[in-house]
Amino acid sequence: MDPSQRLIKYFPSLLTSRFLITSPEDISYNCIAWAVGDNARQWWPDAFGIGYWPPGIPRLETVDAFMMAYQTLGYEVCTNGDLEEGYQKIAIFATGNNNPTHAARQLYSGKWTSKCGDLEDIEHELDGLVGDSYGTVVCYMRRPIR
Amino acid sequence: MHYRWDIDYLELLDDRAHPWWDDSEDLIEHETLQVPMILDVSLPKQNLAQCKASGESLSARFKRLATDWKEKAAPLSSLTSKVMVPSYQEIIGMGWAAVPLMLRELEKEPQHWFWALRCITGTNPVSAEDSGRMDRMAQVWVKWGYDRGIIG
Repeated sequence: MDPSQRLIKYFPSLLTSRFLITSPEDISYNCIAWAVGDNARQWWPDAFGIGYWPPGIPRLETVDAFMMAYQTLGYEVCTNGDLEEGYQKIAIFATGNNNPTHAARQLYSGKWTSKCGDLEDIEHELDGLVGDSYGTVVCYMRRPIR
Repeated sequence: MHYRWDIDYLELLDDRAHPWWDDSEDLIEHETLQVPMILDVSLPKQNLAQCKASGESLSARFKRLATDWKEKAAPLSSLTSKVMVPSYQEIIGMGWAAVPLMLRELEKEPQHWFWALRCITGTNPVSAEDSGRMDRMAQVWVKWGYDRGIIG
């Protein structure tokens, strides 16, 4: 299946928003890592310690634990995903029961970049990944651009 | 009778006139295995029975489940969600019979078999500093398998 069609199959909201595939499939990293520019590890707070998780942060699948993980890299909670000069933003997605599912990083253009599971990286509008798979954005964070 | 941790051999045994688990005690007396947990033959026994009933070999069953799982898990970022996909759970349910199959897959390319391997074997040979590094974790597990004669 064509990669674009496959992504739309998994994330139907992409059908009505613009997106661009920016990398081939790669299992080396996931979205949680990619949100902070790490393309060498899979980040996840699983109970067996298989995924990487910042030392000292609870290995819990909660939005709070994810926020704490990103705080270790200088991010702080902010109110929205609007482009803001001098800051880089990330968005944390979660499902209705507050289980984190995904994270995206804002680009200088104001668009967002995401690693879609084990599939491709895409440049997209934030609404493009809202849906059954990833739920909705529940938290925005930002850090000063160095 | 010598028992080797080899899926093809398991399948061959399945075709024997007398089911291999009937004389498992004799098997254990003569076994030359390096993996103590293998002495629990209940899981391979179950799997062989299931495969015999369906006419599907262990390796074919694994391949079918793995294909299904990869398609369903591909868009998921959550490791926990990936391993909760029913086909992945079925692979874990195959028990030790699935271990050499997963290790051989890892030898070809990294994949998310680490959770299943941890569940089945009860061990995790990957050091904390290599957590999340798919290539490295695959290498460590494959070496672990070779060192114990599970593959090779």
